[in-house]
Amino acid sequence: MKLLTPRKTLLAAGSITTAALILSVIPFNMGGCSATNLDVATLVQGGGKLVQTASITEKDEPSLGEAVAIQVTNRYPISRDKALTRYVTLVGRTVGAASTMPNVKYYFAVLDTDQVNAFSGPHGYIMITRGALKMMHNESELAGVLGHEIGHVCKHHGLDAVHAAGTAEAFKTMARSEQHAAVFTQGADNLGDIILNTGFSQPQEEQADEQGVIFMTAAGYNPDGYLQFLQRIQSEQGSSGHPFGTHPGIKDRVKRVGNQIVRAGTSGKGATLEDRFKANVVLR
Amino acid sequence: MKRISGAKAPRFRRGVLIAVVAGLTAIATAEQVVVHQDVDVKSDKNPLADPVESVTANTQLQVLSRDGGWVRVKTPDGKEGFVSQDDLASNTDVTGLSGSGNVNGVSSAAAGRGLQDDTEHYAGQKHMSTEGVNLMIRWGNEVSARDLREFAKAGNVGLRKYRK
Repeated sequence: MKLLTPRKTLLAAGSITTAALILSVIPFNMGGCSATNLDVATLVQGGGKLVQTASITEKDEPSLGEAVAIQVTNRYPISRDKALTRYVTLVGRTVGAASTMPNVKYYFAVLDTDQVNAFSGPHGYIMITRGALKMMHNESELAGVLGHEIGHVCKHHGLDAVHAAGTAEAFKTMARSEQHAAVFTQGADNLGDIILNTGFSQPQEEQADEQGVIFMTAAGYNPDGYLQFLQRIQSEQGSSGHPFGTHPGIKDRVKRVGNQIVRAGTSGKGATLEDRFKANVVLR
Repeated sequence: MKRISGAKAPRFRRGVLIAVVAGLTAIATAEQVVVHQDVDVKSDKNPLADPVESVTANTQLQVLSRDGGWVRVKTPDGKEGFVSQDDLASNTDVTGLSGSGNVNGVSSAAAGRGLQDDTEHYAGQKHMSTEGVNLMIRWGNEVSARDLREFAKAGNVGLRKYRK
């Protein structure tokens, strides 16, 4: 997911203070119109510039996930705090075991940046920033954010985005052996751009929210944790934190998640594990 | 000894031949896989399920069936259980069809031989470092199924049916 997008200009304007950090975030994935709304078949039929990336399939998800992880870890340094990474991995895998893809071996990393964000690549490559961990109060909040990312993985949003983006017509004339590498490179580039810059579509974000709440609840965590984390982001942005008009932003997501928890009757139920979180997440 | 004669004989021979060919085919295609590191063969299709047996790296397992990302296997000791495809080395098909690439969607990174060929090529082409992702995978592989079960148990979390 594109959890929060940094405003680099604001960060560059001064030292990293709490105020700057608050200003440096905007609501989840406000920038992207839905890539999945592109009618690829029409483009092909109409002789348009894009063709469907037929050669990238679920079989390629491990490679795509690695390629995304490479792009993310080349932009943000990976934390060398092994104990912290291990803790995040254990929480994430506990949620992953309750997901619709428990067979996937999920890999996690903490990114050494104060930006508040989390990223996921296909086949379970998930990265969360130190800034996001700093905003959390307990393990259920972490389980919620990781659950959201696992939701993107289970719904194959990365692969869908690659397919929707299409690939250049020129690739059609390449030899089959060259075509796959070219298509993969463009697919990985497109997906990296979506994950690092524009974000998944709003419907995909909402679907990941929904899945994440289901997974964390099934894993025994109190789903209020995820709601509280979203509310904290919302309150730190202020009520006007809705800069890109037409898409529903954080406010709508808070409402949706809240409604989902009420409908499920799971509010207040499950583990919070504040002590364990504080014992393991020691950030300097 | 009762002899088979007349029109029944060719039919009988054909039947025997079919049975022999089918048997040989079954033997030839009995798929074996190898785990890339020490893993628990689990009683159920979930990382939190109890182990039926722990096997060490490079143990050969017989594939009984595949279901999604899970493989039902028989261990050399004859025990049956499940392993994730991600626990398997990617080029372990004893039918001789194995290659160096991605087989059945198994992550070769997870299979312990480094990044996928596509990914290596991509990183090289873009002059990007693979150090971070390799560290992520190495540390991730160090967290075992037992670690996960103990962690879940300590916090009373994990799927309800595995909570004790």
